[in-house]
Amino acid sequence: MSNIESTYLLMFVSGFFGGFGHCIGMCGPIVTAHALNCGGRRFLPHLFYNLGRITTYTFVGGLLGLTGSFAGVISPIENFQNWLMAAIGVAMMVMGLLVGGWLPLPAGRTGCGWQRLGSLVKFVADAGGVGGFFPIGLILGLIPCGMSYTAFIAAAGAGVKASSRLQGFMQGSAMLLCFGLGTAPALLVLGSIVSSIGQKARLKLYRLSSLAMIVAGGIFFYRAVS
Amino acid sequence: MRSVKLPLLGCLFLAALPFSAQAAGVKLPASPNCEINKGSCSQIAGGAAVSLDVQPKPVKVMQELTFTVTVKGKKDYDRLMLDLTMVGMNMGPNQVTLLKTGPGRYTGKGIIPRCHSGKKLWAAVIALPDRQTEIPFAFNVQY
Repeated sequence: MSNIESTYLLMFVSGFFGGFGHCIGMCGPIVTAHALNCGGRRFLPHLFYNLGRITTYTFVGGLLGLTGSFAGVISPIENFQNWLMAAIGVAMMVMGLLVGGWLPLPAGRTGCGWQRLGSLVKFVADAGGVGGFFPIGLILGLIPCGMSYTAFIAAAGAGVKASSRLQGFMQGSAMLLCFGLGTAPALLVLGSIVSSIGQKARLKLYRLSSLAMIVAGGIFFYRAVS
Repeated sequence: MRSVKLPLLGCLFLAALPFSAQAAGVKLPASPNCEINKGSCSQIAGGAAVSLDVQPKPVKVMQELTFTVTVKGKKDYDRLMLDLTMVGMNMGPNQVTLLKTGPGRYTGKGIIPRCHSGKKLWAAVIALPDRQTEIPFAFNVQY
């Protein structure tokens, strides 16, 4: 096996094992939140979500391989990533309040304050059907994540060593593609299991899961602003 | 079948817990054993005196850092490997290659990524190529 092939394998393996620990722990609340809103569809929404997420990783990996500079690519988008995480935290808290029945669902898209935000969150969650999870994955792939930063650092390193910018781009993309594919099984399994929870159990769990969503959203928001 | 889904979910999380910890390898200190922001750190292990310095200070995440390791009491190597690992969380492999820049002196560049859990305790583990000695320097980084 050549050096670069073993690097791809290492990226996949690190994503695989990291996925079952790091990803489930850190992003499990997000996956659970949209899994409970999949309308009982068990696999396709999560497949599209992960495809979107992996697409983002691959693109960023390519950029890092092209430039050979982690700080040059990541630093400019760090602020945006923090804003994104804060927004997701707020959306999760609102969704938790809606799901738990503590915030009344507006009849249409009228209302004011939290009702309008809740209506917007629900609209985004329901729009686009199964395919709508792909753009959600594209955006959420930008959530700041220490483990993916480590993979990005490796892609930038490959760019420095590459013989051309094109080679750097290809290697960086391939490394993050392998890493993303490695993280997918854990999140697919988690999402599918949560989505397949039966209606009766889902009703029992709603209050509990909505509380968990509110807490998780608060933690995301706190991490983003601190 | 449905009745096993919730317990299966619980088992999935419990099974994942060991993988969320740091990657398997040398036992890492649970608290800092190196005040890297005040100067270099030294340890004696495997018959060698090993010191680590990181510049610039303070040692911050998400910026390029220069790692310098000096080894006294062992033969010189062409290169050394330094693993950057977060204590208590698996952040994936992050290895810095240190090339020989002088007698017993090795230097390389690397980046410590930010973890949004807020944890700041990292370890730089230096492996001497005879594979019998791995020396962890644990220190707090700044955000």
